[in-house]
Amino acid sequence: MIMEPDKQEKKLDELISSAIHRKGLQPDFKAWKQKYQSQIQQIKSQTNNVQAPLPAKSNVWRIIMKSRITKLAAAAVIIIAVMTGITQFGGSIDGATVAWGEVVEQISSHTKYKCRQRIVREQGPQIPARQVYHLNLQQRRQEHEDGIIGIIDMRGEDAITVELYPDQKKAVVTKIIGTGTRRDPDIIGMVKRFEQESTEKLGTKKLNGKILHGFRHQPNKHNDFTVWVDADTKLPVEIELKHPQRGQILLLDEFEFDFELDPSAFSTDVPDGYDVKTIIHDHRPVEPREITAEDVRSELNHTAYTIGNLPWIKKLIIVQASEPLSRIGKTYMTGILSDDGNNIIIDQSNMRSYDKEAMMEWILKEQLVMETPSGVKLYTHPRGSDYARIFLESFAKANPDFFDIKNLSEERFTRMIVMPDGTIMGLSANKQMSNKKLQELVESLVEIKAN
Amino acid sequence: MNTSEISDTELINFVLNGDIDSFEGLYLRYYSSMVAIAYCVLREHHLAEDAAQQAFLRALRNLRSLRHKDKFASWLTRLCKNVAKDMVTAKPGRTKTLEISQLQFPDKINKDDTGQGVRQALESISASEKELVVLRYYDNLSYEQISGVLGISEATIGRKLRKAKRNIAKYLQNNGFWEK
Repeated sequence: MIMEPDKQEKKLDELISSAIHRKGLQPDFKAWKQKYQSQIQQIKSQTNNVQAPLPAKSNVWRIIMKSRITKLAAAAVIIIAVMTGITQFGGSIDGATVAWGEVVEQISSHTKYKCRQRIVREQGPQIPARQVYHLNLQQRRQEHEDGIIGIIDMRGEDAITVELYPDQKKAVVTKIIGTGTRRDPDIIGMVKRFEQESTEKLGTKKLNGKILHGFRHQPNKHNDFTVWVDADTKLPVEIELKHPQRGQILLLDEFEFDFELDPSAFSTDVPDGYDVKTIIHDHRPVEPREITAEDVRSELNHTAYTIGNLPWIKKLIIVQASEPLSRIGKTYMTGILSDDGNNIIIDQSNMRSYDKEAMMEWILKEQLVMETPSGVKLYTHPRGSDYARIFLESFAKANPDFFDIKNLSEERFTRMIVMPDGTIMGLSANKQMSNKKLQELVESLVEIKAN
Repeated sequence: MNTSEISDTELINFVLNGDIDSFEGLYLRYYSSMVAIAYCVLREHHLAEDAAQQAFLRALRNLRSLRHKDKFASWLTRLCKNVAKDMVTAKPGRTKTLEISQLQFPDKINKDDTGQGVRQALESISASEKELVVLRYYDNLSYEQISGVLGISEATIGRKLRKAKRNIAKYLQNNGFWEK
């Protein structure tokens, strides 16, 4: 039988449809949310605590973590951050054990807890223990062995940290403006999420007459959690987080859930009779605009640099803009248009000493690719292409005439510049540069001095 | 919230600003397409749904890294294909041989089983044509929907689909599954 073309087409449609058509395919968002409940919850909390896309030079957490009062927390927070990354990007899920489910249920029924935190380091100075009171995800009090008290309050638009030195009657209040609401990294919250990870039973042990059940969770070679829970209360008694790469162990014990403490203990008001030093970190978005070298000098709290006269520089513009990595704070970018059509940006921004230390620690792990006769060092950046794109985009936004983002090149690259006086700057270039030009450029960097 | 008139970019911005429920709009919009995409690789309905659901989770996790929000659908498609391929390679015991092209058909074909003939014909056409046919017929997706997912124009979809169908018809005829 010979069919007409239209009928053939229709018949073919029917044949294909009957072979592969899926009847009753209905998206069920609620069921999906239920299925991935804990993962979505985790993403939700991360969404509310936005991370910078690249190693940021400064952000609210670095400030909080690196301030003296919270220095002890730094290692713990870093480990937690690493752990967050791990769970965010995968990890095997082999289901929860019943016992672990009970533990999670018990932890979830408590909103606040206190514990003792210690960090044991294989090398270097040991850190004194402290008592940490987590009132909620945004308020914390820390009492250090040496008497220093720290209070962190991240409820408002501006995060506030208060460091009290009772023996000296001194207080340091740090206000971090324009960062929005933040959440405290919470190790108990992390432990709760083991429900969806591979949790190994370790058996039991006795401590102070109590029977404890052990669980181990090792998401990768860098993080190894051991949690001991009370057989009766099903609540954590000890948490140990080994971080072999960092050569340190974070120990949490002396847990007390739903502790009683007067609300004033979490107040960021400094008691009467204290000398108060207030530090403001203003991280509000900055309107990009063209500025002068003199402006850069007056804004920077460290040596400011500009670029000297080079015959191959056709155009030079300085702009200020929001720091494009952390999206907080300002950066000062000097844009250069070279005679071969390359766009090169040198960025510099304010750094506190602890920012600088952290940056140097990070930079020194990267590859040194050039050291000029005058001692300027250039290092690679592990995500140089991304970094260069971000800075070129930022410059393009501030001054589209100088650089059109449509001309973004695949050759783009980044170098971290460390000046002989320790000043750190970033270099982003849209196209490759010869070593000769690169050397000439960084050798030409000259301090901006007051008129 | 009726999300049907809200663009992908707007929905993504809502999600990134903390309103994760706005992801529902994207989920409803692309679920069928993603199941079809995964089915191309896995050729098993339930596994395809599982892969699509995992792809949405992966998308939600990595939403912040998406540079061009208006390209969400094609990005999600890539994620979904990767999830499906991971399911094939990482869990061999679970999925056996799942690429359609790797399927072994019996030496003696039941010429009356035209459905099998169509599935076999899908293996004789190019991967992009196969993807198009599955997207079109798996859940009756419109050209507009397919265009959003594959990032090609509706005119191109029409042209390629006609060519794919001609090739399928030819295969069916040559192998005795269908007489004109």
